[in-house]
Amino acid sequence: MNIYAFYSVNGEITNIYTGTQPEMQTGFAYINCGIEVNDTLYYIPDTASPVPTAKPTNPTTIDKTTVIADGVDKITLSSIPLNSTIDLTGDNISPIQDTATSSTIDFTFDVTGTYNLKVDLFPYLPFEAVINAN
Amino acid sequence: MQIRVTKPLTDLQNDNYNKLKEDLYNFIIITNDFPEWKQANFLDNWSSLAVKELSVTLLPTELTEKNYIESVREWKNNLLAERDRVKVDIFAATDIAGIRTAIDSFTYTNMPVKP
Repeated sequence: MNIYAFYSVNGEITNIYTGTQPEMQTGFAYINCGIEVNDTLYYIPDTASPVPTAKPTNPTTIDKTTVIADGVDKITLSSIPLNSTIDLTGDNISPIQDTATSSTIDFTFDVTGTYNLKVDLFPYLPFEAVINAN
Repeated sequence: MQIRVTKPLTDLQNDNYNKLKEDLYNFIIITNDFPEWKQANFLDNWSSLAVKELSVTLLPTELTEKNYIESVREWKNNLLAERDRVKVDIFAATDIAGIRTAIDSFTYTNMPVKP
């Protein structure tokens, strides 16, 4: 079986193609790859010498996942890669999206609920956490 | 960098008051002896005992039951009065900390023990 990974100029794998005519997919560079390669877990670090490589672990850390929803108690994210996209969704709020302008972010909550937090920046794997604000 | 997850104050007040009502309902029907509460509210043995009392002297067991139903009703009404007190404080609060203080001030009392 011939499997190809198509990737963009920054090395992000855009899709996986299985077939014999990868050249028919115009607009993207491609490389022959193994079945284990996918666009979620792999990328091309060096497009001049393309080798599918596992994405690095996101260095983001979180100090706790349960917080009192009093506007004072806080959850701290640390070691966030600059310019990461921060997504926070929950049942009781409109989705919040922001860009990390520092490596540390403090979250406070006025609204109780369960929240899904995602920190994403290529080429890192996404950092995800579930936060309970009580 | 800081991110505050919040809503307009009126939404926070309404959300927290609705949560209080839900918690109180659960406290009354789940954390206590629901059949007794149901007895005091729906089957209403109290009415039949009160009517009977107009014409005859109730047996000691009947009087005990009537008094107990009255005490359960009083317990429930006290909780509802407490809810209304806290409601005023919730909607008078000017921030989430004030709302939390109001919620935390709610005093839950246990249902009277059946004699």
